[in-house]
Amino acid sequence: MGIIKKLPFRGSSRAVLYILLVLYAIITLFPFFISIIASFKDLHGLYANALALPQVWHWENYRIAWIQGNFSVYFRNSVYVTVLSVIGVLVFGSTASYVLARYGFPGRTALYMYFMAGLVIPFRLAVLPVFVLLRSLHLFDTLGGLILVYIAVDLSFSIFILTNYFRSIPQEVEEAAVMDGAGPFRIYLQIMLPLVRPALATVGIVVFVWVWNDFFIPLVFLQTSEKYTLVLGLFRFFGQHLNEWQYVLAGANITLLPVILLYLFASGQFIEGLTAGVRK
Amino acid sequence: MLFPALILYTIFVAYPYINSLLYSFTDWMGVGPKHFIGLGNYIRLFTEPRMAHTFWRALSHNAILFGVSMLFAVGLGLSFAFVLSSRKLKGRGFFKVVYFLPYILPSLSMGFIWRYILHPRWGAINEMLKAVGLVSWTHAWLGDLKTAFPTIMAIWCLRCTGFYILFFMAAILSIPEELRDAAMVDGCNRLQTIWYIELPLLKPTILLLSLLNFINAFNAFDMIYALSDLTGTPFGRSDVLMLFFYRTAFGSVNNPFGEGLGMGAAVAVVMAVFLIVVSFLFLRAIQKSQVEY
Repeated sequence: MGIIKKLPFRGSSRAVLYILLVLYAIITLFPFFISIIASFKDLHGLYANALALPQVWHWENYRIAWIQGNFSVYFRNSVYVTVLSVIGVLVFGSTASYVLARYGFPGRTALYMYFMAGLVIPFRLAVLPVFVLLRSLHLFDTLGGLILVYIAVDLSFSIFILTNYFRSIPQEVEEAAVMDGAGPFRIYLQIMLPLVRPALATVGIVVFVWVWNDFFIPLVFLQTSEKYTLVLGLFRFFGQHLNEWQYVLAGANITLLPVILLYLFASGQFIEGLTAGVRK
Repeated sequence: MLFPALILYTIFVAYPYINSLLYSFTDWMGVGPKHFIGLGNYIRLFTEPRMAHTFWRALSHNAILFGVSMLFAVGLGLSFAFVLSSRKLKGRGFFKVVYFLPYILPSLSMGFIWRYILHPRWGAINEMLKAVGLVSWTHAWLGDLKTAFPTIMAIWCLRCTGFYILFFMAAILSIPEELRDAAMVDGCNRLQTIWYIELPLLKPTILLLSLLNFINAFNAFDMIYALSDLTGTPFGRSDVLMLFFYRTAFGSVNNPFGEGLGMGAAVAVVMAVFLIVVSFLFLRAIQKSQVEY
């Protein structure tokens, strides 16, 4: 029996701790509560009392944000960019990690360190040359350019996670496959990939969150509003609807909803993935 | 199989880092001619009063943000983690899920939501103060010179704390039970066990999260942009380095063309060098503090 199991904190101090925990949970959830109720109010409701529930629930606020505010377009762009970036990172990251983890060749460690450098230096500080590069490739202000950048930037993280995972697979698994006459690509696809599925899920979730939430990279690399991602679209919408908080908050809630839904389905995976990112 | 990753990474990440350095020695505006001007941009950044003043002020804000979040995000996270890692606690799963939530959501959106909550006329915070009779406390939280940055820092901490709680929890739960049991047998109470046994063992984790907190604090952009604006209103009181870098490279309302890509690259290089040096020191300390159970 561990101490922690037997004696956390007893009696009144325990009650105090519970109150603190609940209080902090309320503070954490408070902005969501306010944002949800405010997004259904009309102007009178907004001016009346921020803490009161809407007298009439104005669902049309969401319709206005979705159609007039172009959130339907932004949403589609965000889904497109996020899905393709995640797929790209998984494909290129896992193939590179497989080679780095399972094959010995000169310069392997150096190459691994080369990829890891991207984890230390913030990409934002390299953004100007990429801006120039995308412009000369005619990829500036395109979703394709954005996706390429996201894949490249998130490779470091995916290689970090996946290489470790590939290394942990026993050598015998591979040897048996070689005996059966399987080539490297078939081994990778049919034997190794299924074995590293948990790590792929981790990388996929983390990259999804990063790309979906990102504001800086679209802000720098996108120009025309038809190409905006959700977060950038919300930013522009806010600029056009100052003080029309019901629409702005409806828009903000639209950006949050997909992440929250996924999180509710797989909160364990999220927590595991995002804290694994920095754990050795 | 390695090459697609290698090529993408080289073109879009590694090569641009080096190019940043090259740009920083030029007066390039992004279009038109490019001249080599040596250390000109760096000299201007540190000697021209307007630039230097803004740079150091932004840097000091990042440093304050780091310090405050060490105390209220990392420190608080550690305390909460100790409480939450007691297995008898009911509702642990619920608390974990709730506390982590703000960390995974777009900080720009969360920033806008808070901006509404803090609104001087219609915001929920002032409404609550009025409801409990503290009308004199109501405030333009984000507009007042004194409260703007502290308010932003509070919201910032609220976002990160959950991440630190969960990270510390994982570390605490990986400490072998026998160590705690042994300490208890020797007559330590719970707090003494934490102080003498667990904290020393958690040192590498604490340092690692301090490093992460440092990197986060110096990368602050989205949330501060949402809560103030590109210039760090009011009057630069909430200006930080990333905003300064963006304004310098891409311009802002007051200065539509910025200072050009060359100058922007110089700011980026200075920031990168600073981040790399401090991160390296942290990593050295982490390596030294590694313990085996």
